[in-house]
Amino acid sequence: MFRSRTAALGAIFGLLFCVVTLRLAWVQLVRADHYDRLAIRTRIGKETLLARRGRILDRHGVPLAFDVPGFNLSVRIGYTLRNTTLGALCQLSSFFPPGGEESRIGPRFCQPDRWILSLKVSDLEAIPSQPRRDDAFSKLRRLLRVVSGKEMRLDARRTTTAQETLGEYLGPVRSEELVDRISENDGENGLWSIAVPLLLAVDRPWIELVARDPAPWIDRVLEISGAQVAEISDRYLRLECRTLFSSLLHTERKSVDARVRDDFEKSLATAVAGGSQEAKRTILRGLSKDFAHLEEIASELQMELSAVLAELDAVWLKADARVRSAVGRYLREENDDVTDRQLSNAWADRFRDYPLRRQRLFTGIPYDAVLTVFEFDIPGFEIAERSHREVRSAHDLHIAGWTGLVTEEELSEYRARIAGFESMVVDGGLPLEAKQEFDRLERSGLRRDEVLGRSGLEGKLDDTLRGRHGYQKLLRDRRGRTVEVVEEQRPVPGLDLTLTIETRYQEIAIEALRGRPGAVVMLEVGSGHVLCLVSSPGFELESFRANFSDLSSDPRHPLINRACRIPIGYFPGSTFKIVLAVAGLEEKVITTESTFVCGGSLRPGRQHSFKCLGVHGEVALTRAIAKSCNVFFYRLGEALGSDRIAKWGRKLGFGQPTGIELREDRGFLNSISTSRRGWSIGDTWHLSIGQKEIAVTPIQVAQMMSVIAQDGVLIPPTLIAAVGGKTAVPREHIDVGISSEILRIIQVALAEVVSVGTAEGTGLDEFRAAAKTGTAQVGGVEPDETWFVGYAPRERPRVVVCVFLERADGSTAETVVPIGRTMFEAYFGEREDGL
Amino acid sequence: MRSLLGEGGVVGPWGRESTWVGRRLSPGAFRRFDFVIVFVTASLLFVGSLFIRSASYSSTTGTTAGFADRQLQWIGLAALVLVVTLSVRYTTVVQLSSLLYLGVLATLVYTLYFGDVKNNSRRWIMLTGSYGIQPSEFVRPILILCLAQHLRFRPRPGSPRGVLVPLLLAGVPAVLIAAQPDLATGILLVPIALAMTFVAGARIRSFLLTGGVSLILFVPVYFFVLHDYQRERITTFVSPSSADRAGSGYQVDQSLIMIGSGGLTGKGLGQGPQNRLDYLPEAHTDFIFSVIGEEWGFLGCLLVLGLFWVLVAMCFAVALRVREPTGRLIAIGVATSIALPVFINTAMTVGAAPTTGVPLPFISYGGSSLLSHIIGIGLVLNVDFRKVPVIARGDFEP
Repeated sequence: MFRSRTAALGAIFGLLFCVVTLRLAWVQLVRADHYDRLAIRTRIGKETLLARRGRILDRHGVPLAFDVPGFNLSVRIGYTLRNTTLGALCQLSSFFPPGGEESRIGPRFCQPDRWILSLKVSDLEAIPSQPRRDDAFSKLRRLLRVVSGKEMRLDARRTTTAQETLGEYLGPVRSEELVDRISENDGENGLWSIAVPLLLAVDRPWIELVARDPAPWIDRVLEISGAQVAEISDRYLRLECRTLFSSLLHTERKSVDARVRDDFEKSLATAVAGGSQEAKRTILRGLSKDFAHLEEIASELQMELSAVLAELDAVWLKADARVRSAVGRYLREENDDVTDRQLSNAWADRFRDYPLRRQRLFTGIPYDAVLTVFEFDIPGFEIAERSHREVRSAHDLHIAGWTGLVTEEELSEYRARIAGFESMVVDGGLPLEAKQEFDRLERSGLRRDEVLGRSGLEGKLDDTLRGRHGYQKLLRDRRGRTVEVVEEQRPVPGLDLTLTIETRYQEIAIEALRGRPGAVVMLEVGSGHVLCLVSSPGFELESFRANFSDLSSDPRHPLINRACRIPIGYFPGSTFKIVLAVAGLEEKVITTESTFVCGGSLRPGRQHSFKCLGVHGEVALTRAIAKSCNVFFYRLGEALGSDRIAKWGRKLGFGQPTGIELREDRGFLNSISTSRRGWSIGDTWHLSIGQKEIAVTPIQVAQMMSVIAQDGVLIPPTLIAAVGGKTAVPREHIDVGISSEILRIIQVALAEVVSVGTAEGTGLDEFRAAAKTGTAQVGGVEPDETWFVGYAPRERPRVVVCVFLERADGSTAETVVPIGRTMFEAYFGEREDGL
Repeated sequence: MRSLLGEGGVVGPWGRESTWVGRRLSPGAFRRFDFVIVFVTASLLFVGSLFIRSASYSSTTGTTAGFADRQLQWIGLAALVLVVTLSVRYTTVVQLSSLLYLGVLATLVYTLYFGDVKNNSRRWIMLTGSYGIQPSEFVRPILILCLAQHLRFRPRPGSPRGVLVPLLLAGVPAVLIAAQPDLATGILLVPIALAMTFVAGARIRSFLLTGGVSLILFVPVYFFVLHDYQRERITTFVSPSSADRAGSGYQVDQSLIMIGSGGLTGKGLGQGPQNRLDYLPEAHTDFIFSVIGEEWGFLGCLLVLGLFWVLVAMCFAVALRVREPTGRLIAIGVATSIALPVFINTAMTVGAAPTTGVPLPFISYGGSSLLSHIIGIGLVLNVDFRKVPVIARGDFEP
């Protein structure tokens, strides 16, 4: 019997050992890799090191679009709650609203009240406006008004914190008085949440006031806590009180001498003794955390109280048990049935559902504020560098463009493409082209909060500007503290773009346009550099940030860059006559001697007449250009035929993109063979004077003029002078194929426009400019579009200016020509000697 | 036949010495001394102190908490206790077991009211500022002695009462310990009693009956007696899907990660990254096996389990070798008191059993546990080398 039973028992134990061994084999041999990966994931965190986005500079290095260093504050609630320190716990309890729906923390549930109080006023204003901030801000103002009876004037004390400012306002007000004032004015209890921490942290005289007479305050605190947490278990009440007393204790230790502290503790004890049962308990719960256990531990460790405090924060997890037991003992002495376990579970319960992943609280906090935030030193609260994009002025947005956060769709599309390429790699080899694209995609490494260029140069040259993010693999301990940097890849900053734009010209052009819809383009002769590119109307930076949708639906289309886009369709008008003149001479349809008779109009049928500006009689080319005689060009166009006009139009850059580094419209250029509908002689006439059958952008017109100024060489306009400090490759020079005699003829004719023609007496002569004006009828009662395009000086052209106004309120000489003159003035004014 | 020694009723709690033969150590006693047990125990203690040092190192602070040094002090004390345990004849101690039992019950009651609180439970009597003992740990050897005395001449306790009395003997201190609260230590007394009763020859029927009754009793206990956190642990174990990362589930997760990442050969002593980074709280006590798993791998775990298995097997061997029924029962009791915590603890670390506060014998940090287990080992050695001659039932069996 004994032997068999012993054997049976031995067998049972053997079985149990086998179970453990088998399970061990499963975990350590079969699943080892899985757990090893898990382990690595647990202890190694990857942090992205963000690449600085390249700046956009004007030709002299003035930044037009640039990153402003800033910081994001984010929190990992999971980390915080699991690993927090004692002092931080007290701080924390105030950050999170109690139970119910609201306890699911998202950025909007974090109370910024207290953060705000500790920020400098100037920094406070720098925090982007958001409902919570504004709410706290208005509360603060209200509180100040209530407490001091004065309006808050924070701006005078920009370098002090809001808290200190309030301290100054408070002065020697009696505590009851304060309480009364606040309660009277506090309709929905909104003020107390900010008032209590504020008042507790303010100033020495106030603390002394409280210390002398804490009873009303204690009552008030209970009231507040009760009011705030009406439906919540008293667990929260306890936390509220603990917070309160801990901050009280903290401040008081710093600034009040021992005698006052003793008094305070004594009177507090009296208040406790005299209070209601519930009040007693609550206060004890609050106090035991902050007085009783500290002294107990201090005596146990034979240390100074302050040393214990420091120690506590350092080894919170170890101290926790002792702290809890101290609290527990206190409570039991009060015949309370709260156990230590329940007490400690309070935290766990309260924060059980808080997520582990990082959540952003604020973005774009300035550096000074970061230092303040660091004082909190709570595990899980993280500051990450994250700059935001600024532009010098709203007008620069037309060129620089704007940036925006990556959208969910872009992100998933990006990931799908990466995955597609990856599967191609797995399937075997990528074609070279796909490989390059894959590399580019991988390099760009889209992150969830990636900032992408959305328009303008930011959009076009996003890859260049964005740089390449790096990363850091960090070894972290259980509390989320970094122990070691395991692996690091430094970010490659984006390249700076140096533009050909000169800010000074931009400003002058903006002023000259006076907000009228239109554009000014200024090209440097010989290089294709765009010195000035302004579109009007502009907009305010504030409204751009706040009401983007309003701007984009504005009928005046302020967001569209009129220099290279066509919101309604621009006819070049008489400026197109240059093309006709070139075509006529090159195709040998006319000579300089050829004349047509201008009778003031052409009347092909009964219903329609094609008018001229006047009656010019018998005109030759030079005079026809100077006086802008329509009839001459109707006849010339007729003789050329629309196809040959279109051919030369295209040679001079119309109907096709110029290649400028911005989003542009190509316009159109119809002729008899490309027209989809029927073509009549009237259409040819329209085309001949740049009406209806052709649409152009100001940059195209400027480019056309630059061909004339550059003796028949077309240099596509460019905005980029240098990328990352390296001079950009010059654009290809295209010889249009105009003989030099013909160019000479045209140049002389354009000079005559200024000296005796349509731009006579406008002061352009003083720059020795050659130019052509133009007026295009839009049709109906709409005002005309007016053009000015010219270069100077005639002998050795250096600059081309093109001015365009969408809705002229006068003749060309009254509207566009003065603007052109201003631009020449701007260009030549500073270098009179260079003329 | 109730007793092999006849109807004389010579066996009482304070039975006369003349009942026993061989009151002195025979000259060959030390030749029969089982040095394997001593060697295995010493090995376990050595491994234990290695890993306590490893587990209490934190690479964040770069410091080692003083647990390893304190454990060495306890080991020194344990050696002394072992010598004392060996020097008194176990039969003498068995005769005093009733007194000891009452004494330890009194101590438990005292602890319940005047004990010191640590880790949220009142289970300590502090001797000096930082050294204390847990009386609950010392219940185990005393209970074994007591049961051995009670069961020695009951080869086949006829009725369920034969099971009930030992259960009661174990149950009273178990409840007192569970009230501290230290559920696991308390409950573990019961299987020790069951094992001894089983080996002593109780009817299987009686076990089944008792088992059924206690299952019925468990339901109200679960809902009305257990603390929240105890219930929670049971639920976490039964349905681990409730992702309770902050509580006991977190520890098991981390423990599994540590053990699993150890693989076959481990990361090397003191080199386990998860251990060094302090991912498993209380690694030096209840979860020390996880550290072994991470740093010594599967082979190390097998070695430790093997050592335990040898120890348990040696205790069984002693039980089979010795004829004297009290000694046999003591050896079986001690074997059970080692095997069960080893199983429960290791199964817990690999996620095969609920999280309980049962330390790994000889290895986990803790003085009282060490001392009580050493006393057990001492008793087995005592039983073995005293070789109290007796005419036992087995002698007449074919």
